[in-house]
Amino acid sequence: MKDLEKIFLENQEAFNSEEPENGHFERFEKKLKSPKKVLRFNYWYSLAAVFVIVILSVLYAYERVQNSEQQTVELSNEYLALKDVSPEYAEVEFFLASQVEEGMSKIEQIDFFNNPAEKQMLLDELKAMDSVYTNLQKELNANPNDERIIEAMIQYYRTKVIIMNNIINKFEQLKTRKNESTEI
Amino acid sequence: MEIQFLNGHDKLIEKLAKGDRKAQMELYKMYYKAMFNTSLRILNNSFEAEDIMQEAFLTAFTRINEYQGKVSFGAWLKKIVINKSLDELKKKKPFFEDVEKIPQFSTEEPENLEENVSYKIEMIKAAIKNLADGYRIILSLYLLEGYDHEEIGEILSISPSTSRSQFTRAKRKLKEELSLMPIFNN
Repeated sequence: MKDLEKIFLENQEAFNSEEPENGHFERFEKKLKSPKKVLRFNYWYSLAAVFVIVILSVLYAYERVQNSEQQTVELSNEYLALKDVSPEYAEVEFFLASQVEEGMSKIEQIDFFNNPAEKQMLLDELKAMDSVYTNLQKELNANPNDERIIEAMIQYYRTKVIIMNNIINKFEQLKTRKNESTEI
Repeated sequence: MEIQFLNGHDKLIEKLAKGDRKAQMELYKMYYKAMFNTSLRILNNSFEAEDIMQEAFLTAFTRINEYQGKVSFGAWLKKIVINKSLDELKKKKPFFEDVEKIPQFSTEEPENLEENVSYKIEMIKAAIKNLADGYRIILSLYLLEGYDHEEIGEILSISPSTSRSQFTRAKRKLKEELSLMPIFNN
């Protein structure tokens, strides 16, 4: 019994003599050819996540304009804007608006996996959010210098930037995942 | 000084990095048997061992850029096989000492000496197969995969001294099992 370790040492090959069931080469070849299922699942999952974000942004926009009639989606100049409150706020607005601009142009550049209709829908919905701001402008007109309205205007820009960044990030993740899965 | 192992198939590994399917199959043919046996000793089930072993190859191929040639390719691959097999086993059940079944052994004893050795090996294999997961794994890692207790400690997330004492216990248990067989009682 003392030679137990010796038996192991001297007979490594005999201890490694088991074979997988027949057909394992073919099974492996098949696995090599089909990209990982996990990746594919993640891909659809992420696509769903992007649309959840879009839907949330729509809900957000609608909730904010609920009580007002939807007319113009362009930023209106006839009403007071954040920049008219004070030079400081003008600076804040300029900064936030440029972030929104940047996000918009990034989203416009995203390749929507050959789906221009979805892309247009997304852009329209982001534009529709502007009516929230127009609405706030009207309120500011009625109540100049109301802190709550000013705060809401800033919040509007911030939310929009966050939503756009989420969309951009999701698409970037999707793109890298797609690349990975085609590389396998 | 770092020793670089390129073990003769660095060209093959270069091809792997490019996703060459032929190179992938070639490597599979070279290593599947050793990797299958390693996985089988942990999982104790041929179908699962095949599946996990193949998954490990796929993982190795997608992560080939992480292979730096500091150990042999086989050793690198084996580490992936072991980790995946252990994860799979943990998924199924925690390591615990089950009541061991006494395996069925044939009572015939081969006559000539050489056959005698291979007969003994088969008996040892059968006895290992019937050990509790924890014992079986530590015996395989130490005696057959050639890891030391430091390395085993790392792989199993236990201390080297736990590895040492578990190994001693596992060996004792194996000997106990073997002593029930007439062929080992001489």
